[in-house]
Amino acid sequence: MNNYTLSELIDLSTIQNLAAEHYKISGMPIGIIDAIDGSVLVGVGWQDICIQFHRANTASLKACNDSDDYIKNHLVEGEACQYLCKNGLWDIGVPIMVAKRHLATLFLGQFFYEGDTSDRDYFVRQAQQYGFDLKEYLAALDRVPVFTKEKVDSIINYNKSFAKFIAELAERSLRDLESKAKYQAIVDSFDGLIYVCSPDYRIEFMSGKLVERTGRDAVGELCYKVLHDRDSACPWCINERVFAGETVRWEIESPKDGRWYYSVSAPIHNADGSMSKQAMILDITERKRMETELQNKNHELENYTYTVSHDLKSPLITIRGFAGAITSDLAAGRGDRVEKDLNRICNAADKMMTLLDDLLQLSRIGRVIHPPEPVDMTCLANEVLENLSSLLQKNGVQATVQLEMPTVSCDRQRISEVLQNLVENAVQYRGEQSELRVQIGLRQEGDRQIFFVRDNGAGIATEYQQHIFGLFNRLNTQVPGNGVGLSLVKRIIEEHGGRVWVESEGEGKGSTFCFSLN
Amino acid sequence: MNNQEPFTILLVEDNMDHAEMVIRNLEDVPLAHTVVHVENGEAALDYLYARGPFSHRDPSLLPHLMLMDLRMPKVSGLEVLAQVKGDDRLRALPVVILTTSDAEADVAQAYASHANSYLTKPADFAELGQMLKDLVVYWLNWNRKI
Repeated sequence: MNNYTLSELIDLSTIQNLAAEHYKISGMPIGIIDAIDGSVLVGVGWQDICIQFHRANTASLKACNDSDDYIKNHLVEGEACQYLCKNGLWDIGVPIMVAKRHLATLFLGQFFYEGDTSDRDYFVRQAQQYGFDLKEYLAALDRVPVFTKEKVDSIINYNKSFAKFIAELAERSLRDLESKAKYQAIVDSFDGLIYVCSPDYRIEFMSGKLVERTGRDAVGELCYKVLHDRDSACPWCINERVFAGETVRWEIESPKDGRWYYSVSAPIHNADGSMSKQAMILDITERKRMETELQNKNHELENYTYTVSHDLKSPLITIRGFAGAITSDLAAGRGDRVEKDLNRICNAADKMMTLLDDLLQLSRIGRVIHPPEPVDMTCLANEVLENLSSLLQKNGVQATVQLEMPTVSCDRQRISEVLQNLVENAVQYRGEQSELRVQIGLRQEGDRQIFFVRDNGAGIATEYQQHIFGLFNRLNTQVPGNGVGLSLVKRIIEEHGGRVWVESEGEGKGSTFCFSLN
Repeated sequence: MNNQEPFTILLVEDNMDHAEMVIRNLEDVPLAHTVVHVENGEAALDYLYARGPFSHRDPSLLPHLMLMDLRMPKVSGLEVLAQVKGDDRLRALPVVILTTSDAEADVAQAYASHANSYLTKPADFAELGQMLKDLVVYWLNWNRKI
């Protein structure tokens, strides 16, 4: 993060102009040198004596570098380091510190204090030592600016402030970059979509994920067009509230893709007094689906508890009631009803037993699912009819299986239970039909395979066709059964990802129970 | 309201054992009355409107009291209740719910549909007898009729 150079943080051309004007007024040369790579960032009034002589000669350059190092090592934040360089000129360094890092140094000089120039012999010796052209060297020496002590102090004070000013500018820019980077990190790590738009619906910013989803960076375009493919503002738009200062949280099912989104839209107050809206959008389709599923499950569970308690209580009342009746009959010396009443008690107990067995079986569905295997449906249907042969024979049922039904991948045992339940159901609810026919078969609807068990029995009126798959729901209590069979069928089919329904033209018209497996 | 004579109770109950228990207990109540038992909500409505298997009945004659279960196939007790209480001619007919369910939702729903009373079937035979006796005495003797 903190690796920016000064030139990356601020616009140095303005600083260069300021330095040039300062030089015109004061005559003091100024340079700003990058503290890391030594490059010249700003420079004005370089002295010929330095460039053409001291720094142009290998031996004298060493003295220049030593001097630079000295200053560099003696810099203190907020202070000016003054140094008479090894080549005999004055030089001043002021460090530019940004967020505790020394990014650059502002140099003033080289120059002379009034009185320094009298020692001309020193420079004559130096010209001889380094082999400089004496005349030209002395001419360059004469061009070096000369200042009084007061003037230099005043220039130093000005430039300490100037260095501080540059540092503050750079620091502000650094904070901006840091906060931008933080915002970017937040935007990038957010799983949802973010955009910013103006009050007139123009997109000002799109997060990477939104760009990805839209297929292009649509900054400048209209949000309703880009996001919802509409030609005018969306009827559900909450911009008015957001631009009135409110943060609006809401959920919407998008008409574009049918998915659910949670959106938090908040106002942004821009520096120029204008406002923008930032919208953060999270896809909550999966959560919604699970909520609905949970609600359904809860409802189912409530229903289940209710019906189980009712249906278990009912035979208990019969048992207790008739036990009491027998007791009082025996006390009164009446034995004529006892045998019949005992029968009722036994039947009620049997009913409870069957009910409990069925409930256990029902609760196992969903837990015990065998791995799917390829099952030849014609074969399976024949097996089921074979198992039920005595029931079918006893009731004079003519049962047939369609030949060459396909092989499907399913839980063999469970689907066998489905077929068995549906066939038993047909026999149980045959109604007035004395020549009951049951057919297991398949019909193709588009690419969907629909298996069916068709009978010519009692039939079911349209209004009850949904109802019969509910747990304990029964249409005819005169027929033995406890209303678990069809809910068992429904649950098995749904575990397979399929659907089950009944088709019937009404009472007495027979029924076709259909199911798909995926 | 035009009532049939003597005091008639329309018992709507799909569980034959429970119906038998109620009828037996009612037999022991020493007040003159008759019990008509129908096995589901649909038959109860047929009886009240004198249609279907009850088309021979005089529809202007109504029972004095309905004793009805809630959970029944096809037409449930609540549906019958809604019909009765929504019909000007039948509204004054007292409907007493007699059920195994003591679920709060059932009680609330029954009263919301203007049931006159809600009774939970006691498991104890003697208690059931006492309850039915009190019930008949109340509706036959004490309750002021139109």
